[in-house]
Amino acid sequence: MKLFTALLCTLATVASAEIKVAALHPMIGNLIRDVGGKNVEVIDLLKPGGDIHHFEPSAKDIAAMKGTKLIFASGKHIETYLDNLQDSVGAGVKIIEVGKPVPSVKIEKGQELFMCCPEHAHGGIDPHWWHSPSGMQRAVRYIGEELAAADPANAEVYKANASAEEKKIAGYRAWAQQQIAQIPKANRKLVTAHAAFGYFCKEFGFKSLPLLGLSREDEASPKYITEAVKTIREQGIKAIFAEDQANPKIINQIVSETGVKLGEPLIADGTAPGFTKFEAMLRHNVDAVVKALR
Amino acid sequence: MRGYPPIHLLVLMLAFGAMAVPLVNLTTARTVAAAAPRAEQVAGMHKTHLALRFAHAPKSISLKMGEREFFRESALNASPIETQAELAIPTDGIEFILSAEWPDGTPDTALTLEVEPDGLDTKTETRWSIGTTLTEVISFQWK
Repeated sequence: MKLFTALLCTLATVASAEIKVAALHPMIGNLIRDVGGKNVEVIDLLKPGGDIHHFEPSAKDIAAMKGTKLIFASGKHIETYLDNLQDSVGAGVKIIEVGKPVPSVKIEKGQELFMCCPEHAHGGIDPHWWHSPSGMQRAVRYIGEELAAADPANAEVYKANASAEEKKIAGYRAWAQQQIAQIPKANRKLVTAHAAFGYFCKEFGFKSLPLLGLSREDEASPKYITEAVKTIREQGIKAIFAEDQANPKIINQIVSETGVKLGEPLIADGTAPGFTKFEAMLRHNVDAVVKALR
Repeated sequence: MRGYPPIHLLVLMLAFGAMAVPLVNLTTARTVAAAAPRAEQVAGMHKTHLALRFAHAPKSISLKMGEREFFRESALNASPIETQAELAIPTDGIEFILSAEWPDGTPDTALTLEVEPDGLDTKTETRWSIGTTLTEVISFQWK
């Protein structure tokens, strides 16, 4: 009966949707649903569990996008195929890089944010802007503006929904700040597998030490690992963190060399099943970080 | 034996050298570093979200940058009031003139101006009223 009701609701949403859009990240798809409501039909191309760093739309995905007016991408160069995608879907479909308004975090040694950084990521832009509540607020507003431009009849609805979502995100930030306040300032150092937490660190006052590069599959040089181990010892780092969907090999190696505690795995790319909504991802990560570092 | 072996050796080495140079160029892996994506540039035009927050509703508000006025038509019954504008942001920053007036009897109160250019950090400044009026010059700079 529940399945039948859910199916009826889905069909009703599809039947009444004013515009059809596509999302290249499940978290963005959920943001669009929050802002668009029943007026927007969202096609999720990257499903929960997918790999944002290696996904590329197939011919089947391009076909599924038929009739879409807008394609919402994360941006910040995580989707390297956007030019090709624009060619495939034609000029009549607008591709929106939702992360564009968010100030970029550049990975650079010597930057106050980083304790040390892998050479091969040096100079790169961290694309994982979705860890920043203030970044998410900008994204939500941008989504509202684009939906309003594409569907002016419902512009006031999108604006009101975006405003409501911004307020909710402000609430999540306030909660996170209160939780993080339990961690002594000296312990606010985040050692993670790949360089995915620059925005989290910037927003919440942590220093970052990524062991790999910008992608989960990046390799770290032995020289960098030695430098990282030395930093972990010298800085008295309390715990380090593996990530969902990432190879824990380097993390395990460092734990065995230093004896440092291993915290619960963090959600890095926002694509893990059950954690594709911002609130769920943020709460999980903050709880894990506070538990390990306070 | 015909010929002069050292000459034969020299010719052979010259021939080898003539082939080796282009082969080395073809077979040596050269890493062409892909241009790293650039972070947003400060100087230039930026789509900017402006917001004014107040604790007590003023009778009037004016926010100007040079001759441009923002929030001219905004209703003042609820906080915050918001607008979008394209702003030219030079490296030495921008300056606003903020004025407001409150009804008689309003206690000391504050206005907060939030400036959020696309791609640049949000900056906020708060100013307090003197009596029932406020007139301030507020500067913002992004480096």
